[in-house]
Amino acid sequence: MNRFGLVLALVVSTSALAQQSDYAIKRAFEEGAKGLKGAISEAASLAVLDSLRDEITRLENEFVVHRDFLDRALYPMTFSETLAELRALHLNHYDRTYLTQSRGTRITELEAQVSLLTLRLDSLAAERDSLFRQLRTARKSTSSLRQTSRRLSATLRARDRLIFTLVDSLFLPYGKNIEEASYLEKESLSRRIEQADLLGHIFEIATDNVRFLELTELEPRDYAGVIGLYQQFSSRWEGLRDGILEVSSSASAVAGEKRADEAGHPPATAIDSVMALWESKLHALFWNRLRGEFTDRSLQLAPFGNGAEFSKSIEGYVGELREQDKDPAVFVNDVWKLRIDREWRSALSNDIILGRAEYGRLDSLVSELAQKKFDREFILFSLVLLAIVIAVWWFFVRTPKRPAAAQQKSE
Amino acid sequence: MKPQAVFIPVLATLCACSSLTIKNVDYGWPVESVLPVGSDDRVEDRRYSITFDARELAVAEFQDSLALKGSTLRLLRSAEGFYFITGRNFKHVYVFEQGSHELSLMRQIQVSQTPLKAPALNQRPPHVELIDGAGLRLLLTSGGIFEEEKK
Repeated sequence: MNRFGLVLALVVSTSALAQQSDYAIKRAFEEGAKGLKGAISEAASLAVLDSLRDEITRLENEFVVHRDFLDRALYPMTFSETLAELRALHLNHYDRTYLTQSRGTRITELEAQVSLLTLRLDSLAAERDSLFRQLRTARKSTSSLRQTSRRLSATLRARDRLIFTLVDSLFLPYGKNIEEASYLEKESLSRRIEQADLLGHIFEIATDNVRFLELTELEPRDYAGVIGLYQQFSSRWEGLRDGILEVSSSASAVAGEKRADEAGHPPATAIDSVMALWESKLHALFWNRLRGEFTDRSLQLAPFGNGAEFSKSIEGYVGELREQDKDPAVFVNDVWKLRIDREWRSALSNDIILGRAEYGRLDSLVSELAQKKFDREFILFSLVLLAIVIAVWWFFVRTPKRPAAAQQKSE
Repeated sequence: MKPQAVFIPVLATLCACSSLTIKNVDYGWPVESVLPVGSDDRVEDRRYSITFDARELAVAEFQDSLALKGSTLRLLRSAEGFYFITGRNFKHVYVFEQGSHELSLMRQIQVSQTPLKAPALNQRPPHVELIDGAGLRLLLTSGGIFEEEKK
């Protein structure tokens, strides 16, 4: 408040000089504006800022009679520009102080959490690097490869969870509807996003998952988890993407700061590209591996590379077995029941692969094929059994009975 | 074609160029510059890009070439383009005309019998106003003190 007092003193003291020295008028206005700038920057409460707003108006009223002179004498700014700059600074600081006062405690807590999460992400990144190295060197032993793969998968999952906890921590203080946040809130959030290198971490995690798919050979049952992970990550990113872009563009536009990609962080489009790569690789591996289940048993199904093609292929093969009255035992029992239904059902039931309803429909279709064969066997078995019963009955029926008179005689 | 036929139009053009004059130029600064005299006795105004040595001015006013070192000078250019210079403890206002790499003294106006205490120059077209606290107020021109002439 000393500086503030000085400003007042300068303004008051120059009133007397104002009609004498132009230079003194100019200096008084400059010093007044400078003092107010300092006072605004140092103000820590809204009450002080409220009084400073009045002081800006007082400064304007005090010197407005010299407006024409000051417009010429001040350099490089004019009287109006100097006051506009003061008011903009005041507004900026007012919003910042308001934000700090209203949400300060929560933000401080969450900032600590963000720091901790970032640290844990970094430590997990080190573990991930080590596991990727091990995965490359552990190719000799299948069991050690499998073990390393599991540990790596767990590490990647932990990082996925952490990154979205980090996202929640960053966005939570600003509420869910980020579009309605003030530009200062957006600027503040944008700064936190940059500090936490959120986009960098998301990009890294998506890239790690692509590398993981390239380096590991997944078991059929693993696909359900991997697909679920992709799906969860993808939907979270979709939800986050617009929010981050909204915050980044607003903050950059207002503050004139660098865009995310210019500041060295990956742009959202780069993350989109990695997500697309992750999805295509996952689908390619999945359908390729599933095709193997049929080809390994020499079943000639029409080739498939997505859910629709898979359905069509199964329908076609079932139809072919029916039409040609072939034995479906291998297809139904060995492949569908033992492999597909046991190992792949969970992954196939995922909506981005086939969906639960479609899998159920295909399973019924295949089961009907088994049922038909079962019915035929049952009829045959029943006929044989009936024949045996008739034969036994006939055997007993044709056995000659002793005459009743002879029986009575013997008694 | 006769040589005169070519020579006369060329001469006429040259004469016309040399007599080109832009009238009503306002050189006036809106406010005086208060400039410190550096340890090398030089004065520099960054806004109007003018630099000069204050030693000769010090000799003229105080008969001591080092008298202005560390002090401040008040400099104002009038609407006509003359530089008015004075300072604390001065008894005169110096009016200079700009030349090629030089400021030529047009007039040394005695404004007080006693040294000025807090002088200031204001632009009051077509004059330059000199004030010294509440006690002195004079309107100056490149020719001298306007009010005195009026009287």
